Amino acid sequence: MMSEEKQIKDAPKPKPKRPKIPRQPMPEQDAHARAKNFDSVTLGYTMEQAVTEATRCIQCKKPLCVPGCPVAIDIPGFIQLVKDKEFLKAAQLVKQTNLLPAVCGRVCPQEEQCEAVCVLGKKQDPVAIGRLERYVADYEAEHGEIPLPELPSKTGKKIAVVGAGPGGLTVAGDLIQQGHDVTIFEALHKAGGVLVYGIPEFRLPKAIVEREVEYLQRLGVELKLNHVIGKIRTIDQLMQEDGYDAVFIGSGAGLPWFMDIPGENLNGVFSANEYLTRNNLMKAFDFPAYDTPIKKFKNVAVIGGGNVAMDSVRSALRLGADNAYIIYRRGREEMPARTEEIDHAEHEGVKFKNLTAPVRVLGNDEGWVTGLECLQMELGEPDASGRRRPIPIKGSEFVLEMDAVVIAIGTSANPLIAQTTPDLALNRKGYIEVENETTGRTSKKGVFAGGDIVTGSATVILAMGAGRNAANAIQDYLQTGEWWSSNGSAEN
Amino acid sequence: MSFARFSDIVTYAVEKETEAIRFYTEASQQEQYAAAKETFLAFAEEEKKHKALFENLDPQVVANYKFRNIADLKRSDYMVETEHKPGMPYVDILRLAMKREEHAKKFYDDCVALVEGDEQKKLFQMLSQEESKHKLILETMYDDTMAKAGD
Ligand SMILES: Cc1cc2nc3c(=O)[nH]c(=O)nc-3n(C[C@H](O)[C@H](O)[C@H](O)COP(=O)(O)OP(=O)(O)OC[C@H]3O[C@@H](n4cnc5c(N)ncnc54)[C@H](O)[C@@H]3O)c2cc1C
Ligand code: SF4
Repeated sequence: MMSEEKQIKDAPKPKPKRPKIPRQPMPEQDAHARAKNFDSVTLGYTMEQAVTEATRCIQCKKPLCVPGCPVAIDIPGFIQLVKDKEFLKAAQLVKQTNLLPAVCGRVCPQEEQCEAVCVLGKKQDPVAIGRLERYVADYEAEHGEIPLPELPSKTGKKIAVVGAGPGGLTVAGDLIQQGHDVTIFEALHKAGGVLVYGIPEFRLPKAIVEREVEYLQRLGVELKLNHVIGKIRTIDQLMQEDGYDAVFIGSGAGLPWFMDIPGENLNGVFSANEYLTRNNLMKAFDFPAYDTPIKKFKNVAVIGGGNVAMDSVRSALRLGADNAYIIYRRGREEMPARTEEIDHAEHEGVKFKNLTAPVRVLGNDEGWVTGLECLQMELGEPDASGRRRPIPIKGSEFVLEMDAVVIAIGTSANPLIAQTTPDLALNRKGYIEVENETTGRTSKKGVFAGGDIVTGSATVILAMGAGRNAANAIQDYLQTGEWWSSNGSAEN
Repeated sequence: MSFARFSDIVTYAVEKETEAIRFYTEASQQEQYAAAKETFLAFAEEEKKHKALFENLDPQVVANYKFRNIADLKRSDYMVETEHKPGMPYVDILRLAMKREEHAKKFYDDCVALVEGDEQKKLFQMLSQEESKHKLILETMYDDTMAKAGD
């Protein structure tokens, strides 16, 4: 007979019942008020909310969220620190793998990454990992001194980084900490890439990016603004004449596509890039303090359904449009924009015209936009891939009164660097070909690439991940001098 | 140009394909990068298949030809005319090729109405369907690329 003690041991333990704490909502500015200002839409968790949210995490032994994160942040680790109110330590832990947590906490599509696989998501809402990441990063910015790490002695090696987007900034941050001299060449008058010229202030305050760039400068990274590589210097000149031992190209994918429909050359038609850049970098939103405004338009149509379109249309509202439309040829469920951004746009009063395709921009005698002719679309039969593509409904033409049209249907690589670097191989879509994503080695010895210039438009975190990989590969290259050849053998 | 005889039409269609092969081959030669060269050469190869098909056409082949409904996404139909510029981005290359297929299809559709005789009509319908197939392949590639980018 079993002893009483053993019986007690073997009895199934009652599972501790956790009270189901709901996912903490993100405090937001009122939708009507915010549609008229450029201040942050989301306000960030309070300390109580952050700690409450952190207690929802069940600290999985094999956390699915970590491989769901493109840079594998120790998510349960930092969430435990939030629960323990060790916010500075939590921020430092996140920063071990992510240089820009305050950025990623705001703009990463967590719902497709870490949060999509969080085990809680099976039965309830996943842990709000992104919001917690933002909380700890903001806490550190407010309360913590970011200590400068001790740098190793100088190696005497020089690295040139082309482009100060998230990819280039990551490479610079990693390599300066290896003792190399790093110079970033940036075409614009401000560093940050899309983070400063594309994503609007109300979604990502520019001060956050400025702080991170300043931190890199304090570490010793040299920043050369208004330096267009391919014009001022070529990649070959950087390496052969200016003494750089390696170059990282992180020049992004900033060349906008147009629709090629009649009327696109009228005044009042913008690419989203131009529209957002004028607004962000030239501070059109701060007129008359800054005198490079975007004319005030009453009716603005933004073409497209991605993040860039949502940022443009929400900016249009804030710049004073009475009516701001999204014109999208497919159904809402196909929009690549983050659901959160679509919802925000809708709450702010953006009008959605889905299954609608523009066919002509109409204008007056002075050459200004007056309207947009569109067609109603319907979904066709599923094709071989199962996709139901939109096709125009015959005779469904209609005209919307407009005075501005912003085109946000995609971008590709600016060809300048490729044109001035003939031995740099490109892929079919015009992006730089690399050996693989873990090295970023291009066809040209000593030249590495990563981010949107390799993948086409993607995400901030993927560009940063590519930057980190390239920085590791550059470090290897500087130590061994080894290169690769496309037939797989190493070259010296 | 007379399309009175079956063979006139076949000769014309073969010439059009020859012109298309030449166009894409020359475009490929003008490109600097291997990838763009390959894209144009792939289009030239497709046109070669059409040329071979058309060269072997006889009334019997046409009589047995199966017509089916080819979806028309009409992606190129509302776009302005475009021309080859070396170094043009990939989506522009697709637009150029889509537009050419659209014109070819429209031309054959017009011809159906113009000619008399069932054999000739059917031949033009077949040619139109062949161009429609190419247009659909290109427009599908284009639509996939654009959908991802947010269009
Ligand atoms: C409006 C908008 C909204 C977005 N929203 C999100 C979002 O919510 N979440 C998300 O994850 N991603 C978003 N993205 C995508 C994301 O911003 C990009 O994937 C990311 O910034 C790519 O980083 P990168 O370093 O490769 O290039 P970029 O950020 O594009 O930076 C490239 C830099 O290189 C510079 N440059 C270019 N050519 C030269 C040259 N010849 N010489 C010198 N410098 C050069 C450019 O001026 C630029 O500063 C958005 C993009 C846009 C446009
Ligand atoms: S999967 Fe979700 S619950 Fe599990 S450790 Fe990650 S955040 Fe916590």
